[in-house]
This record gives sequence, C-alpha cells and structure tokens, in this order.
Amino acid sequence: MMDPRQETCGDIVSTRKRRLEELYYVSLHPRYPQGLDAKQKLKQFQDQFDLTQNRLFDENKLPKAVEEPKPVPTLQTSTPDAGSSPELKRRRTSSIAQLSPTFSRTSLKTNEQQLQEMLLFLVPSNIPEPTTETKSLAELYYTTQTLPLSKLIPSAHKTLTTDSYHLALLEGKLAVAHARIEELKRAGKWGPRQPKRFQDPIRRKTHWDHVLDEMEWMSTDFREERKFKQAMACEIAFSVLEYHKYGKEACCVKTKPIKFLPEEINESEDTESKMDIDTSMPPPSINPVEVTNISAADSVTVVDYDTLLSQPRTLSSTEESEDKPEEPSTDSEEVVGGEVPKRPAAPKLPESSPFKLYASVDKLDPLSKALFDNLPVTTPPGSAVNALQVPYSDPLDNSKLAPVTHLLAAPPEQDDWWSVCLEDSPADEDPLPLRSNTRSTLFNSETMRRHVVIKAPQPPQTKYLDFRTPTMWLLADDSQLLRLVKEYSYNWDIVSAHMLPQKTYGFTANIERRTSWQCFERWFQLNPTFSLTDLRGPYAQAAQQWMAAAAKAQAQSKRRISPLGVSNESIQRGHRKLRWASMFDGIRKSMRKRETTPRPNPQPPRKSQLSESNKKDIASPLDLCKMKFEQDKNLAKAYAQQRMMPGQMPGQMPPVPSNIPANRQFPGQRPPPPQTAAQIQAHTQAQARAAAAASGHMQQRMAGVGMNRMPGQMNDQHQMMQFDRQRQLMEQQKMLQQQQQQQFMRTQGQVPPQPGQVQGQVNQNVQGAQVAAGQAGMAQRPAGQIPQGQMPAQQGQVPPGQAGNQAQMMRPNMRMRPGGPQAAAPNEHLNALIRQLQNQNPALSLEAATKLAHVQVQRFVQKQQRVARQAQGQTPPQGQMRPGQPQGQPSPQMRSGSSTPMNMQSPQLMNVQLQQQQQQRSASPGQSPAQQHAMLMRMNQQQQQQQQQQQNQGQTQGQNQGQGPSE
Amino acid sequence: MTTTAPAPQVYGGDEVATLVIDTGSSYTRVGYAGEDTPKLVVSTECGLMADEDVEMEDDTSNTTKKLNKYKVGDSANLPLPNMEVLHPLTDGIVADWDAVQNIWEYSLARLNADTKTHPLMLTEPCWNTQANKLKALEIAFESLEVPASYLVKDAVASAFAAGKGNALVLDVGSEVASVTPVIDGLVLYKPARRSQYAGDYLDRQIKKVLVSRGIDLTPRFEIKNKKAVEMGEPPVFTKRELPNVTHSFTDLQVSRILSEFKDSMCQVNDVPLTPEISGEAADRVFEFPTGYSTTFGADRLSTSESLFKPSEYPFDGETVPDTARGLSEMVVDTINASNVDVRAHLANNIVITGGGSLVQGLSDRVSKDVTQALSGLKVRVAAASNQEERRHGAWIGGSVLGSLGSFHQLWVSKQEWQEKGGDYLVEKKRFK
Repeated sequence: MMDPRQETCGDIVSTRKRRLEELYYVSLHPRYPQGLDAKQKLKQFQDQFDLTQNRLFDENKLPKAVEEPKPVPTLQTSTPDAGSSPELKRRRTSSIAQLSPTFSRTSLKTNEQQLQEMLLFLVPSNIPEPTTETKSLAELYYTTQTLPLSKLIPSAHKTLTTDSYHLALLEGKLAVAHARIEELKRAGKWGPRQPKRFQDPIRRKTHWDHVLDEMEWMSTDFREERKFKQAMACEIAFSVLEYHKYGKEACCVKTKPIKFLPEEINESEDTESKMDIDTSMPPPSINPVEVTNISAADSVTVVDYDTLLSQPRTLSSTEESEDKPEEPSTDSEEVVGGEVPKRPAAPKLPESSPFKLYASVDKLDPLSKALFDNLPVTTPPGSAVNALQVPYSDPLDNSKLAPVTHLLAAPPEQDDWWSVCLEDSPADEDPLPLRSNTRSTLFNSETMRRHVVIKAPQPPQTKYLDFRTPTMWLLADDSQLLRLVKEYSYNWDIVSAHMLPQKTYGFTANIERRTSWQCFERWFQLNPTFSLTDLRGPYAQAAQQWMAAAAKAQAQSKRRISPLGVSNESIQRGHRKLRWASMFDGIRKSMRKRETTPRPNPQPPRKSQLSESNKKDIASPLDLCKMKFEQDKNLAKAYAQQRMMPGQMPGQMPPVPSNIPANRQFPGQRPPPPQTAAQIQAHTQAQARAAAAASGHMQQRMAGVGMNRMPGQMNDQHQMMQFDRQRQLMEQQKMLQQQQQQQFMRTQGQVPPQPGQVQGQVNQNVQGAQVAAGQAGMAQRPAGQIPQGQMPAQQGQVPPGQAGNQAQMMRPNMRMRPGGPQAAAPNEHLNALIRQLQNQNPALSLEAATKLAHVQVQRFVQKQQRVARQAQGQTPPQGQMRPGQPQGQPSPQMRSGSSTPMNMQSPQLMNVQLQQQQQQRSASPGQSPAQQHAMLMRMNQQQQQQQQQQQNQGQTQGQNQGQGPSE
Repeated sequence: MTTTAPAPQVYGGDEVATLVIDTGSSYTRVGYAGEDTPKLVVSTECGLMADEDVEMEDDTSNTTKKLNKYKVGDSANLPLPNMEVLHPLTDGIVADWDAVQNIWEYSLARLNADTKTHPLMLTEPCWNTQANKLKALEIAFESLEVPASYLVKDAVASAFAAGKGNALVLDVGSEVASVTPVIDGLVLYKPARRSQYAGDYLDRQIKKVLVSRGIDLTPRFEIKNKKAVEMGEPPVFTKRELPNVTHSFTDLQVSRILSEFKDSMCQVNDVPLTPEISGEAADRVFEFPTGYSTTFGADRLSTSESLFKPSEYPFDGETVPDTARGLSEMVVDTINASNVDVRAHLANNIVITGGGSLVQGLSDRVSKDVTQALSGLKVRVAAASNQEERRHGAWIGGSVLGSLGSFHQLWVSKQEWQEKGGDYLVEKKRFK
C-alpha cells in the first residue's frame, strides 16, 4: 500500500522540483521573441503582462516555445514568423513539449523516414528540455493545502519512511514560499522575472583578460598541432612501409644529382635547397590573416575532416599546414606541406593513410561546402589596435538575472552547442488542401456547408429539467466535438456515438454523458452566434422550447443545469469531485433499483446437498482412519489370543510324544471362537475346503494315500517336523486342486455346479467352517489309517484358522512360481534350518551347519520323492499341474471353489466374498469399491502377519522340539 | 596590474625559450614552453645515498658531494646498496627542497639548458605555503640564477591546457586528488577540495587485494631469472642476491608493479558498486615480474571503486575519517560550495587531468555521478583523450602560458626579486 504512495510522493517531489527549475528558467528566458522587431515584441509582451496595473502574472499566457528556432540553411527548416496564427503556435509548442529536443545522430539515422516528415530546429543546448507535465505553483499550493501530507502521514496505516517526512516538510516549505510570493504579488513586488542583477560598472579589458583570450587561442593551437603531428607521424610511418614494400622506384621522386656550382654561387643555391626543406616543416609563426584570405579565395584548402565535423571552431589545421601564402595554384589536388605532394606517381594505397589530411574544397559536396563556408575561423584575439576601447564582456555576467534560489545556477550563455530539435510536420495542415483537391464539386464543403441545415436532435422531456445534472466538457472534448460536428455534418447521433468515452465498464457518469442532445447543447453553447431559429428538422420546435425552458430554469435555480466547460486547470478541482459525486449517485440509484425489484425466492442449492450425500459414500480420511483403527484393534486382539494359547499349553498339555507338533496338542479342547482375522483367513481357505468337501470322498482317499506315510516320517530329526508339515500341506493343497479338477471334469456332465450352489456352499462355510476345516484337516491327516468319517478328536479340533493359515502360508510361493514350490521352499527354509542348527549347537561352524542342513534337506527331499512316487499312481506329475492352467474350461465359480490365488478370482466373486465377510463382521452393507480395496489390502497384510506368526510359532515349536531330544 | 594594451605584434611572435618545470608528487616534467610535451620526465622519487659515502668524498669538493649524495633519474632505479628512496613531496607540496633542487638541477643539466638565459616557470598546487613559494623563487633566482621566474597554479595550468579560462579542474595525481574551481584563470580557494584518495591510495588498494590473494610481489630487479609457466601455475624464478638494498627502494619498485597493474587492469564501473550491483568486468590476465600470471575480474572494479567510495574500502587497522570523499563527491561538493553565479560554468567545464585519472572509465563515471547529483546543471566533462595530455596537463598548461606573448609582462624578473625581496612578492603582490 505504501509503495504506490511512495511512488506518488516521489512523483510529486520530482515534479515539484522540476517545476521550481522551470519557474526559474522561465524567469531566466523571457520568451518574448528576439529579432529585428524585438522592441515591438517587447512592448507587446509588456502590454500583455502589465504588472504596473497590479495584474497578476499568468504563466499560461507566456509563449511556451523554448526559443525562436534558428534556421540552418542546409536543412529543412521552418521559420514560423511571430505573427502566425495562435493555433499554429499552440501546435508547435505542444509538439516541442512532446518531443525530446535532443536527438542523437544515431537516432536520426534510424528515423530517417520519419525525418522526412519532421521539421528540424537547432536549439541552444543550455536550454533544458521541457517537461512533459507542468503544474503551476498555485496548483501545487492548492493541492498541498487541501490534502497536506503532514496531516495524511499520522493516519498512515503502514510504515513510513524518512522520505515521507521529508516530503511533508518540503510541502510546508513550498507553502511558505508560495505564501511569500503571494505576499510580494500583493505588494506589487513580484514580477514575472527576477530583479535585475547588479551590474558592475563597465570595465575595459585588462591585461589578464587578454592573456586569457590568447591562452584560449594558443591552447587550441597546441591541440591541433598535436593532432597534426600525430597524423603526420602516421603518414610518414606508412610511407616508410610503402618504401620497403614497393621499393625505391615506386615511392621516390627521381631527382637530379646535385651539381655543385663554383664556390661563389654556392651560397644562394644552399638557401634555395633549404627553402625546399623548410616547406615540409611548418615554422612556429603563423599568420592567420593570410590563411583566411586563402580559404576565401577557395584556392587550396586543407581541411581536417575530424576537426571540421567535431567542433566548428577548431579549424586550425589549415593554419598549421600552411607556412606562407601561396599563390592560387592551378592544380587543386596539390597540397601544401609534407613530402606527400612530391611524389605524384606513388601508388596511393587505400590503407596507407588512415587520416584524411587533405581535402579539396572543389570536391566537397554542396552541403559540406556550405557548412565549410560558414565555419568560423580561429583568429588570434585582440588583433584590433583599439583594444583599450573594447569593453570587457564577462561570460559570467551574460545572464541578466540573478538566480531565484541558491540551489540553481544560471546556465552558461556562451555556448556553441546546439541541440537538434525535431518536430512533427503539421499533420493537420496537410489533409486540408488534399481534401479540397480530391473532393468533387458535388460534395464540396464550402458551397455545401453554407446550405447545411442544422437539424436538432430529439430533446429530452422538459419534466426532467429540474433533475438535470450538468455535463462537463473538457477542452479536449470541446475540440473533439467541434471536429466531429464538422466531420459528420451535424449528424448528432453519429457525433454522440463518437463522443462516447472509450472505457466506462458499463457505467457512465452523468457529467460525462454524451447523448446526441447533450452534444448539440454543448455545441450550441460553443457557438453563441448560432440562433435557435435556424434550427430545422422535426424536433426544431421541441428543441427551441426546451432551450427556452432550460434558460428559464437556470435563471430560477442556483444549481447549474447547462453543460459546463472545464478548463484544464480545474480538472482536478472540480471535475473529479463531480465525477465522484455522480458515481455515488449512480451507486445510490442502482441500490435503490435493487431494493425495489422483487427478490426471487432463494432456491436452496440442491446440488450441493447431493454432492454432500455423494461425498458420504466415499469414506473420508477420518472414516478410513477409524476403520483402520478398528481393524488393528481386532487384529491385535486376535493376535493376543493366539499368543495366549501357547501360553495355556503347558498346563493343559498331556504328556504326549514330543514329536507331535505343538499346535496340535490340545486334545479335547475347543478352538477359540473364530476371531476376525482368523475368520477371514479361514473363510478364504474354507471356500477351497468346502469345494473339496463337495468333491466327495475321492480326494480324501487320495489324500490318505498321500499321507499314509506320515507317522513313519517322524524320525529323529524333530526340527524337520514343522518344515515337513508345511511341505505336506502344500502338497496336499496341490493334490486337492488336481483331484478336484479332475473329478470335476469327470463329473461335469452329471453335476454341473450352479453358481447358487457354490454360493450356498460358501454361505454354508460360515456356519460349517469348522466342519469344512475339519474335513480339510482330515484331508491333511494321515488318513490312511483312519477310517473315513472317523476323525480323531484331536484332528477334528484343529483350529480352522490355523489350518487355513498353514495352507495359506505357502501361497505366496505358489503364486510366484506355481510350477516349482519344491524348488523354492527348500532354499527358503534351508537358511532357517541352518540358523536353527547353529542355535542349538553353538559349537557347530557355519559350514558344518550348512552341510548338516543340506543332508537333512536332501534326506527330506528323497523322502518326499518317495512319497510322491507312491502317490504317482493317481496323480499326474506336478509340473503339469498349475493353478493358473486348469485343464478344460472351469467356470469362474468353479475356480473360486478351487484354491486359486485371490488375485485370479473374478471381481464379481471377490465382491461376493467380501460382502459375505462384511456380513460376518456385521459391517455396514453396501461397501464402496474403495473400501473393498482397502479390505483387500488389509487382508493381504493380515495374511502376511499371520504367516510371520506361523513362522515364529514354528520356530518356537522347533526349538521346543529340538530341546526335547537333546535332553 | 598593468592597464596598458599589449602591442599587437607580440602575439606568438617572441619566443623567449621559457623553461617550464612541473613538479608532481611522482614525476617531474621539464621542457621548453611552446612545445606540446615535456622534453624530460623524471621520477620525483630520488635516491639518497648513505652518509658514509658522503664523508668519504667530503674533502674533494662540495658539488660532487651533492651530486653523489642524491641519485636522480635513472640511477634512482638502480638497486644501489644503502640507497634510501626519498619522496620529496608530501600532500602535493615540496617538503624536501634539497632533493627537489637536485632533481631540477639534474634535469636542467640533461636539457643542456643554461638557466641564466631562460626564464623559468614553476607550477605549484593552490594549497602551497608561503614559505614554499619563497623557497622556490629563492632557488630559481639564487641558485639557478634565472633571469625571470613565475609561479603558476597547476589547476590554472591544467585549465589552460584544456583551453579554458573558467573550469573546474579535477586533478587526480598520485598523492593528492584535488578539485579546484578556476574562474577567469584565477583559483577560487574556498571551495577547492583535495583528498589523499588518489593514485597512491589506489596502489595500496591494489596491493591489499593482491596480498589477500597471496600473490608474490617480488619486484623486477630482484629476479635473476625466471621460467615461463602456465597461467595460474606457481612462478619459477630465482632471486638475485643484492646487498643492502633498502626497504624504501623495494617499496618503490613494488609500487611500479602496482602502477602497471593500475594502468592496465583497473576499471571504474559506470554506476556505483553496491552489494546488489556488482559490475561486470571481463577477466584480464596480468603477469607479475615473477612470471606468475592470473586473471582478474571483479577486483578490477572494486579496487578502483575505492576512489569513489573510500569509506567503504578501509585498510586493516585504519579508520577512514568521516570527511573522506570520493572523486565525484568532491566535485559536487566544490560546485555546491561555489558561488551560485559560477556553478553553471563550473559544471559545464569540468576538466579531468592527472595520471590517476587514466583509470579506464573514470571520467565517464565522474560525469555520470555529477549529472545525477546536480540535475539542474548541464554537466560537461572535458578529459583529454591523449594519455600524454592527461599525465602532463599542468606542464602543457604552463607551456601554453609561457609561450603567450601577452604573458611576458607578468614575469618576475631577477631585478624585481632583488629590489623588492621575496617576502614582498609572495605576500603582497604576485603569488599571494
């Protein structure tokens, strides 16, 4: 917020400072025209600003042209005479004010095209560039009085810098200064110009002044001499180069050998030859008067181009190169000084002379020639004999006026520097003659316009007259109006259309309204000579009436009704205020309008509610968090319970052979009520088992065959038990699948399993999970010895979750490498085995332990193979049996029935399962897919967790078992 | 002042072969008036042999003792044993007249000038003391026995060299940087400013930077031989064993390296350097006498920036006084301290001269700064593009003045000196 304020402050300061300077310069350069009739102009000027009659000085009346432009003969110039029309004057001043008076040479080049259309002026460079924005001190004073910064600053909301305070201080100072000026004005002591500075009594030039003059001349001489010396040195150096490059023949002038005359005449000859040599070296004494004569005679001139172009005053190489007056030579090419003229035949190389030392006036183009002719020539100062009579002119005393303040200094008057000032060529002048040329007589304005009838636009009704606010017309608006009226020949509608301000954003202040009638009204105001009776058209009568009524109303009311012309100065004061007022008016009006209009029933936004309900379907992060928390809690509970069970074991465990797995050693004990996590596991597994159960006794037989070797397997290596068990489970699972499929294919014709049926089975699972688990458990048991249906109690009571877990445990492996569970499992468990071995026998080295483990594994594999061979009679080789590659085309339902991995089930089925799970868990019905997904994720997690648990358990068991035999 | 008009025929006519001597703090220029460059430029630093040598030759003659005691010119650059290097000028004015007189005699002898036949023009800074003026005239008239002499202010001479009677002369010498307003060929003493932040100061700044970069500043005379090494590689050189070379001599030779660095490397940024604005300077390679060469980029700007903002570049253990002003500030100060009437003239005729001003971009910077500071004035800087013109600006101005025909009336003749006495001339009349 402070930034724009600071910016404006900075602007104010700079404009005010600038203004101060300007005031000073205005005072310094009274811009009345100088010239032949200067006296007359001065009188005019004094009449205009007659201060003796106590008339205040009005700056706006001052001609603002910087100075009468001085014409340059060779350039296109305009010499506006002082008597030109005021309009032209205004145009010129404005364009000068807009254009920067200084134009560098490069910019001149680039703007060549525009240059054609521009006028060129030369303005003394000491005159400052006019500012684009000027404000009078009075206006500054006004603004500072109405809105003084010193009052604004305390109420500032944000940080204030020291600058702000300085600014406020400056304002105060300005106010004081203005007050003083006003005071002086009242006393009649304040003029447009400062009082004349005190003039010293006229003094003659003293000796020292002459010394200074001579010094100036001499130092120029020194400088040019140095330049010339450098150029000559370079020339000679190149000549030497040439000599060595091209040889003596090309570079040297052939001379006769010197013939020595007899003794007596020798003297004169010597002087002659000396003369020759002397020409090459300029003697120090110079007679410039003769030089000027020569240049005037246009015979031979040597021009240092650089000097010529850079500074007009320093044309002195001419003098240096010429030692004595020469007769006007016939050959214009012949140059004086140096050895150069003595070798006319020498090939002039382009690179040989970097300096253009010589030039002929004849070869100059006319422009350069004209310039050259007008160049001043440096002459020694004070050559006049009557030097005593020359009054001393102090360059410092040139300005007649004292500076206004000590902050400013008078610009130096004697200044040879001129700024190039460009000005737009009169663009509005040219079209006029063009138009008159191109126009046909039919539309010839001059004849037509006389007969143009001015038709009045439709006036508003007179009843609105009382509420009328006056429109405001700036000077620019007025001129635009006049132009448009002329252009569109009193077509008020068109004029008003063109008069509309460009950007209103839907709001037009009353004061800025430009209806056709208002345009007409203002135009009528601007043309007091026009009489209403001349009006024609259908509304002429009405217009006349309106006008009369308006005049009457205006006379009665104090308020202004008619359009108001606003000058540039009062824009800020009046115009803006009115504009604000009218804006407030507009706001008030629109508010009223809004109040009166019947308010439509506010319709509660339904849509948002809908979206609310939709949102509720999607679980919010909070919901998800809650769900997760519940889940975790349940999980933790289940886990805790599972942990509890082994803890209970010792008390309840009967003395059983230690080779029986610990988790099956709770005879007669009911498994704990299925907990959520276990339930889910059980459920997923139970599906498979239910399907297995449905597939009849066949598989049980098969399983029995597969397991009949089980008891014999209980060898001395107890730690193998757990591993063994897992492998078996896996194998069984596999076989179950195979059998299931085979059987199914066999029985497909008779009993095609219906979806409902499977569903039913699945639903049954919930209640009959135990049964199914029992069946599955039975299938895992060495069923060979046990008669069918006659389950040992302890086997039947295997917790379903555990059974499921065991089956589940192998699943990731199966999923990853369905073909080779055997290959995967030993490697995985080998390490565990090694670790166990090492734990048990710390004395065992790693290699020994590895060896031992390998032996064990090998043994186990052999056994395994043996078992497989025995079972081979019914089952196909394992390699062909892949869960993802069932023979035939099992229906999705059937696949779900099988123990294919979860992610291979069809989404529908998964949904079904999930729903069932949800029902079990008495969760809210209608789960969203997202939730389902979350569920799935959780399930997977649980599986993994349980897998870990299982492993831990297995390890503890193994340890327990391992400790057994060691004791 | 005389009020008689000069005879018209004197202009450029009479050549009196004036000798002009401009004694600067680092170089003394000697030559004839009317020439655009001095005939002889000798170093103002001169060697002073140890006393025992003097005693040995004491019995022979007085003159040989003097000549042998002081080593001026090229012999001052020889690494002679036990030779102390003197700086006869302090703060721009002569402090050791013995040495200066030796230098003058030496250089005049080199010119083969018979001082009895040539008038002698001497320059002096505008803050020169009365005693010094008197001493200078005394040497000129009594010891050199010149027929006429004149003391010209070096600021005035510099302004004359630029062809200006009204000028603001910014003279950046080696010891002193001064800003002197010259109006009508006369010095305005009150607003004149001077500071020590000039060429020698810049040398010290450069030395500070070089030392901080760990660069070996072994002067050229101490190096016996060296091998060419790649840029940035450590130098390979062997030192020459010289007995009893004094520290002051080594310092002088080191300062020669620094001056070379200043001439070839330093550059003034066109806008003041601030933490935000670190000007862009292309890297340049500088080879030291040891053979070590490296590139310098930002240091080229920062060192020369110290001339404009000495308070921001203090030396270790030294405090910069509050009154320390940079070059631009001095110029602005001087203009503001001058009379209102002459300000525009001064700002419009700023003459920059002195060897220290040859640092690249210095005059542009001064012009820019002053323009910015004095918005109401039209600032125009006149700085000779020619190096010789800049270095010997004061001498050239003296040469201009001495060659003027109208100047000859201003000489102080030997007769006047004898009749009126030095005190009268210095205090009352000419050289006040």
